[in-house]
Amino acid sequence: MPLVNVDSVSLSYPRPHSDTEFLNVLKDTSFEIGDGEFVTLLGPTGCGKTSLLRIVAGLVKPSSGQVLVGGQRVSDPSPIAAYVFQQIALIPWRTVQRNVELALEMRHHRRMSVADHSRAREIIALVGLSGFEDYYPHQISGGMQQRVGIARALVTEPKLLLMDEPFGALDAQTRRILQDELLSWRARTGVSVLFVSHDLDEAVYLSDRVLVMSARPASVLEELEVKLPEPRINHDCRAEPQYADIHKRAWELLRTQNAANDQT
Amino acid sequence: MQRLKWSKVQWRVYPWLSILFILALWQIVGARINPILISTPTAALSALIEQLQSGEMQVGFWQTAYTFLIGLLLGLVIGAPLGVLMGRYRIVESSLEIVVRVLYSVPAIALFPLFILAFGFGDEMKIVVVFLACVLPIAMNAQAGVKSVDNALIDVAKVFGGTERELFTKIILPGTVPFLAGGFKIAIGRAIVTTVAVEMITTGGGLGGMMSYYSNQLLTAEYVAPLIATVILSLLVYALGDSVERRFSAWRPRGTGSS
Repeated sequence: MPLVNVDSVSLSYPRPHSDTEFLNVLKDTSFEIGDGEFVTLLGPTGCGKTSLLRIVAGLVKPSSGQVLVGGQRVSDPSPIAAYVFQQIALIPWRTVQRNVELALEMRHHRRMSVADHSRAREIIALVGLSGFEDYYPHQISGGMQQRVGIARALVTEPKLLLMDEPFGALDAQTRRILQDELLSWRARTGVSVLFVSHDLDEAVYLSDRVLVMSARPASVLEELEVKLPEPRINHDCRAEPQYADIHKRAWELLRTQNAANDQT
Repeated sequence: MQRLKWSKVQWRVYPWLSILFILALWQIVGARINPILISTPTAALSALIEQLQSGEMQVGFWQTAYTFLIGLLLGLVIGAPLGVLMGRYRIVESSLEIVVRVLYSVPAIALFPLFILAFGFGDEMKIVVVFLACVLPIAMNAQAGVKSVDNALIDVAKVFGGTERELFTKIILPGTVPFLAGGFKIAIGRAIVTTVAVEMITTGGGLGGMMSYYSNQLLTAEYVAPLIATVILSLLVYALGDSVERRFSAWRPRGTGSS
């Protein structure tokens, strides 16, 4: 049984100031994610990738179709999934430590025990922020903030990590570093990842499979399997011939879809 | 002993210089014109001491403080939850917002004749007027505070399985505190003005009653003394509001605090 099963999901909502006109965001989208897989939704900007991720997360209800996570139909956020936000969305009045603990508080509805505190500290150490437990979000850099955002998700020991362009707001160097680290955290925790990106390089470098989305109303246009030698961080896999092939194919698809998007 | 550096101390000195200058000007001008007009600081001080010795000042002060604080507290206890509900639930907002806006534009003090009919001249009447003056700014600020909470933070609570109650206590309420403190400070100003005004109009005791009595007697120095006491009362509560606000916004980056 796949970990995630997205079954002919569609989403449309009324256009602003209109009861009769609908905006079709997603149309009959289906795909699966296996245990431990890293899958990226790659598509033109504004095509509805984030909407699809929010449906899988249980934050938005699809107009039709259904999503199963761990065999359970998603109506509310699944307890085995965790979410990493593009806007990072740390609580500004909580320290790094307490931001990470927030996820545990919400998931388990309990006061933090000594074990919870040390669990949070372990995860903070895993993402490389030991010593910053008592800093407030505004006191650390954007890259460090997103490390906290990832720690907050990992502390719940999810089987599925949902990531909405998590590195989109970071500078190019920080993004490269965090991409590598994400691969190593994933190797250590065995978590499956559904990743949303509009960055071709990022998608091909990180994923086992890249799902290229069409322009709005979006669905999966083509599925590209990425079989690069593992582990990818230990050598320059961006120099592999296969990397260039997939990159080229994905760009061809994206370019036509971006053109289609401009016409709508 | 550490030497005090002028470059640092100066910012604490200037405000006092400014006050001293005004007092000196008041003394010089006041001493040269009819004492009924503005009196002088020294005359006001001796009137104040006299009123303290007779006990009149203490009675008036506590009476005003009582009306002011109970009215303000009621405003906070009722206004804050009301505003939070308005900010969070659309049905509450669309039902009550029009009422709140209309009442906000009516000066509470203008309604005191109605309350005299309902409650007589006692403390209840004054407390109701003060309450009405400060409940609305508190509610409106709380409402704005709840609405200002970042949607992404609300998603965070939802996506990790938080209940509506946890969303309230851990995200929405803490996020609203700076706005509540702002509303509270506006309410302090409105409450003190309203308390003294209603006391003066009804000549009903308190510092306002004293001011009304002595000004009718043309005893300007005796009238200025309770005026000074009013300012002190207001500044004390204001400082309290400030320190509560600082306590809850310790996390804020410097320079963006609302105080």
